[in-house]
Amino acid sequence: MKVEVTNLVKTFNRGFRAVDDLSFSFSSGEVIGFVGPNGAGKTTTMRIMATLDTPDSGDITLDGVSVLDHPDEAHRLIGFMPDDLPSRTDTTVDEYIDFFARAYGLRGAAIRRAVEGVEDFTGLTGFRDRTLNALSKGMKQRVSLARALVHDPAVLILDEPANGLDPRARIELRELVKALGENGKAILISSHILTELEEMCSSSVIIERGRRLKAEVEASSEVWIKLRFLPAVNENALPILLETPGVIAAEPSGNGWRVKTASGDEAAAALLGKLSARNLVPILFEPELGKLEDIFMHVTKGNLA
Amino acid sequence: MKLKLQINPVTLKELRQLVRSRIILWGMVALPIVLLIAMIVVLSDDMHGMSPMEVMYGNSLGEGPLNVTTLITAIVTCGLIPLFTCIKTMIETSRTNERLEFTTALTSSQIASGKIAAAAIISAIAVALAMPFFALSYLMRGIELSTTVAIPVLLLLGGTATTALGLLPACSRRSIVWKILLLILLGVAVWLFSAIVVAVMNIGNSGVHEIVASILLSLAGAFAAIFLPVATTAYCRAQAAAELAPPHTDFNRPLRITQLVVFAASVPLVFAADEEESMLWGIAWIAIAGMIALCAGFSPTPVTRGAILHSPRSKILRVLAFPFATGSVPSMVFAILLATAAAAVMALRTYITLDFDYAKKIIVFMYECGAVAIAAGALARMSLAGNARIANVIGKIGLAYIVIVNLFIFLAEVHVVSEEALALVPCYLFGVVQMFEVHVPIAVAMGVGAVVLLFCAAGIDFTRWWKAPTRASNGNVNEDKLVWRQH
Repeated sequence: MKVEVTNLVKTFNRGFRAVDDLSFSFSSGEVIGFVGPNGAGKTTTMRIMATLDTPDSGDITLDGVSVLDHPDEAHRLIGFMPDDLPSRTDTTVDEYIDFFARAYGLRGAAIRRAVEGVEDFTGLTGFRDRTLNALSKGMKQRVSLARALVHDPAVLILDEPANGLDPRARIELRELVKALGENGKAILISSHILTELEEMCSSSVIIERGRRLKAEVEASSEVWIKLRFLPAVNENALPILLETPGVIAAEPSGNGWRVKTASGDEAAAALLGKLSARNLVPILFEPELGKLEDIFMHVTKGNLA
Repeated sequence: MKLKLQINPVTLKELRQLVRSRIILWGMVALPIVLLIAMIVVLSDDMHGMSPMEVMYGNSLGEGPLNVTTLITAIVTCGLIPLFTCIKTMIETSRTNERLEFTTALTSSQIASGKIAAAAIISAIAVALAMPFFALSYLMRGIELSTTVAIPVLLLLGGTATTALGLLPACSRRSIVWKILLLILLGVAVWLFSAIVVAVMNIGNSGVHEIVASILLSLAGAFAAIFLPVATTAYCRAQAAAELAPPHTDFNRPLRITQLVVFAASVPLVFAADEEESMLWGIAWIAIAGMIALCAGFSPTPVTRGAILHSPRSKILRVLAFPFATGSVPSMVFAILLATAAAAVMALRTYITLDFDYAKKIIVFMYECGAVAIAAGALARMSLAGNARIANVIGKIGLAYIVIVNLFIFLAEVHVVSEEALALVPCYLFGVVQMFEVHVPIAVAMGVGAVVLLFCAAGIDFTRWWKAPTRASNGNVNEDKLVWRQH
């Protein structure tokens, strides 16, 4: 499934251009970060993709089929999670998801199968009989995600899914999104927490004032890792680090070191094993983040809406 | 073959929410209690001074209980339940999360129907709770069984129609002014139709049982009584669905077809009613046409890409389908055709019977309002389509024309009714003038002007409509050919 946003323009009252000739694309298995300052046009773009809004011009296609011309087909392919959370006193979690399963055209036993499946996947099984307003924000986010997933869409559009979540809920959401990406879904996700986006996204699209900025953050093949050893070893670690296979570069950083190595969990585990084999056991070993933050700050500098 | 009945998911959801609502729950509990108290009060009043034998075998006491049961049940079915549904819908349509049902496989028609059906089911429960009291009214004598059965049915139909009418502004994404205007114009049309129904059934100051009895007695009466709520429900459901639909889709087509069907179905009323009341029919349809023209004129959207995509293959059919397409210009063309059709039916009726000056004046006035709306809409559409300079010049000429023409009418009126001229100013401002003879050519001139402007604006949209590649034309739309811009 290839999602293509082409020359999208959306103007609101008094000529305010929320989205200005925006184009980008992504495919199945990709998790794309959608980044921009407040008022950049992220939510408007996502709402148009979900057919909740109409562009002035431009188009969005799913494998070449226009979302605007064939909204019924698009609805079956797209799952949208808005930043607005469900909150009703008269609807339980199970009823809410059940309604959307029916609304997406599921019939008979498939309804229960889908509802129980997404409840299980999002960890809502123990909360299915609670009314929506009695849930915490994190649980409401899960309900919203379950609702977006109930018809097993090929494309997921998640608008600020981690907004206001506690650290545990964020980590759990990140794992869910990663799992969905690995399952072959095309995911567009917007967030202000750039370090988290960087961890789960294969690339990012940065927009400002409705326009795409010419900086695309691709997942790098190399990564810097922060290291620190016991004081007795720390001072003399540089030569051993440079000789260790898999280390591309090493340099001092604060009271420790940073080494450049191949990205990925396997490469990190291999490096850790090799360092241990050389009696260089680290007390700190973590990948450096913040690349997306740096780029974001650089490209949007002085142009905040 | 196994028949699979699938309940509308919206109905199911609405019902779940309605039965959990404390207002509805307490309303249902309170209804029989209130009915019981009201029945005791009415009967104790009616039985005052009667002997037990008179109560048992003598006077017919059913009318009072029937009236009070009908009134209280009507308040619930035609007041509280529609009001609750509309407020709930209004809140829903204002929240992003609640609008998510529009991203599902549900159509806007299914959403509107689901809400109306849920309210109808709750109304049916309310009517069922009132049934013992209707039965008691029958047992108190003086009421026919058919009347006792017909009233709950009519209450149910009336409640459903009221819900549909109220759902219209609740579903609309227009401004509050437009919502009120829409409701007033449709309300006026329904009220006018009600007047015809009353006239057809000849039930001026009758009680409930007499009204229902007269409905049951005459075929025309039964038709009129059922036509009104059913037509209102169908019309409002189609309009609500159009209001809920995504803006780029071809949402007007089902609405226009419904309007045409309701129009055709209402034609017998003209011939069933007396001459004077039949004029109400014409005025009602001119009001509806004016409403369509106003809404289209002041929201100058182009023919939507959904409409272009679904345009017919045959060029002849494409021309015929243009007034049914979604867009401001096709809507204005449809309004003109509808008004013309209404005028034609009225002309036929008038030819058969008499000529009414008053009705002609009102119809001419409505034509003028429609002409101004159409002219304004056509200019706005031209302006948005990139012909701003031409639209500006034509707009100024049109404005000058209207000012001069109206000044001329005013002076003529002062000349004819000099002593009343000042008192007539407020009426004049709303276009109600005494000099009908002067007004007719002016109205015709304004109509011609509006049609010319509409023709200019239609040229822009119709060309796109005529040339556009369609899904119907090639079986499967070629996305590369469908280059689409808003203006």
